[in-house]
Amino acid sequence: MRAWIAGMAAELGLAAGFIAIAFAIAAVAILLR
Amino acid sequence: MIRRGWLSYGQDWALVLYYSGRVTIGFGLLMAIPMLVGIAQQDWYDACIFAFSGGVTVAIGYVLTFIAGRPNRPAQWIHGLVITAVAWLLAMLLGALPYELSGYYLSYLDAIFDVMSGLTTTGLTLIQHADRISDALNTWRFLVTYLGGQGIVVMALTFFVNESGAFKIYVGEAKDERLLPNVRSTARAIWRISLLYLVVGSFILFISLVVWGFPPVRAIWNAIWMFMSAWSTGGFAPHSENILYYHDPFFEFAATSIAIVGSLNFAFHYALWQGRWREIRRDLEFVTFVITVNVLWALVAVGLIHTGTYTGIVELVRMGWLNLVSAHTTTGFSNIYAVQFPLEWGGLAFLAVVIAMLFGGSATSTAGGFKAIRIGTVFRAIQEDIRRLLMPESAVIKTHLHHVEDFILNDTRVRGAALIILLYLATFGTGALVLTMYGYPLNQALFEAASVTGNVGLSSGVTSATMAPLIKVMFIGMMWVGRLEFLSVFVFVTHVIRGVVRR
Repeated sequence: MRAWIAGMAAELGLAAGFIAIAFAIAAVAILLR
Repeated sequence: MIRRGWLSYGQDWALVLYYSGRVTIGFGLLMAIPMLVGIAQQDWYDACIFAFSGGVTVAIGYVLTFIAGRPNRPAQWIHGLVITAVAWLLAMLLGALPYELSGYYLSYLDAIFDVMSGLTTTGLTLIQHADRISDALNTWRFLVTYLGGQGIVVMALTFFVNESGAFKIYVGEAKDERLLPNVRSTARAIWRISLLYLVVGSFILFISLVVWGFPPVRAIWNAIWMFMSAWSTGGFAPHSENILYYHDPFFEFAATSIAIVGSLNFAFHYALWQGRWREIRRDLEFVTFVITVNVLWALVAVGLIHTGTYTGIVELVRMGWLNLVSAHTTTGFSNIYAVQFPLEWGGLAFLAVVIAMLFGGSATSTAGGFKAIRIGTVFRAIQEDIRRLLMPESAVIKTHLHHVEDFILNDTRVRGAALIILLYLATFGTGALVLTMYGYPLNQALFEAASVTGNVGLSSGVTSATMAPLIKVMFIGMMWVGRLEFLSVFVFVTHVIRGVVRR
């Protein structure tokens, strides 16, 4: 069960990571404008 | 008698009807859930609608199994494909009964359009006055999406079918990877993952809604429905303004995150839940998805900055990224109005969203589109061919890849991936062509055709109840073939035609 919770947390963490990368890419795009 | 490896009429149809009947019974029994919601809220009209529709559906399922009789041999691949196609058609026709009786649809065609849209997790809707519909009817709308995402055949395999040959039925529903050796345990694992996420995901959305000032009871309903929609990469919302209704960036990002997780391969979920963390770095499908999402997002960001549509970074990510991810995961949530895509998004960002809709999520997930594994496979095949041209003729080149398990890239895999991509493109092209014939501008036609083919649900303003009936029928067909990845439908149609010719 603990492994499952860790897996779920990792997946949600990955999804949050996507948002962080999105902000980083947007920042670069704005700076390079 | 020598069998030619093709369904012969009589016995084979009996087998198909038997299993389709079992799936139909399961689908009908599920109408008890919205019926109970109706009873609990003393909404007697809706309770009656679902009691009647459920009764009819279960009765038809029983009649089919009764006529067919219990099969005396296991299902073959071909049966699995035809069973899936037939079961989905029956579910579409019968699942529309409550919609039709509710009075929120202008015609039965609109009602079956919405069921197909829900089952295929597309999310385009022709409902009238979406803000006023009852909780029971909303529960059914989102339940249909949730079930469609897992696959109605997967549902039936879990609870209602326990015969050998089950895997061959399971494959028909475009879920061709086994998480566990036994198909029944695979189907159960899929449900376990989905139901656990239902609890956790709904809770996250609930907190977000309550913090934003939603009354707790409304927040519970909205959280569960929106979770079902996000996880299944569906895109329905209980309000006509879709996710824009909530006006809450945290809620939007939370729902999008659930959609991203929902668009991942069930085998990938299972690997991570078993503690196999290396999959994040090694899995061809996940790596491809990460690359395509970020490249397309960069294009959308550049496009939107160029047109000056959104000025601040938060606004840019909230509007741009959310819609791109919604397109790429084939969800269809949108926090802008449909007409803003063709009017405000310019050429580059608009085109990137169209490409994202066609690319889609992962195989064996709730998402639609080409699927990342096929894009990755074709890309690596091109790479291998270039390497072959650069090396001496005698050189032996092997590309080692990893997706669920290690494998060497071969022509069979490349052919399979390329053919499905080609079929998606042909469907997309045909859809766009028909829409332009009806007088829609090219950009809107391309957008809507990509959205329907990839089971996305974003709209550029074409989809509405006033659409020509032929377009509605075409969209239903496109959603159906797109979700079942062509094979089931082709085998079903060929079988019917051959049967007619033989007579």
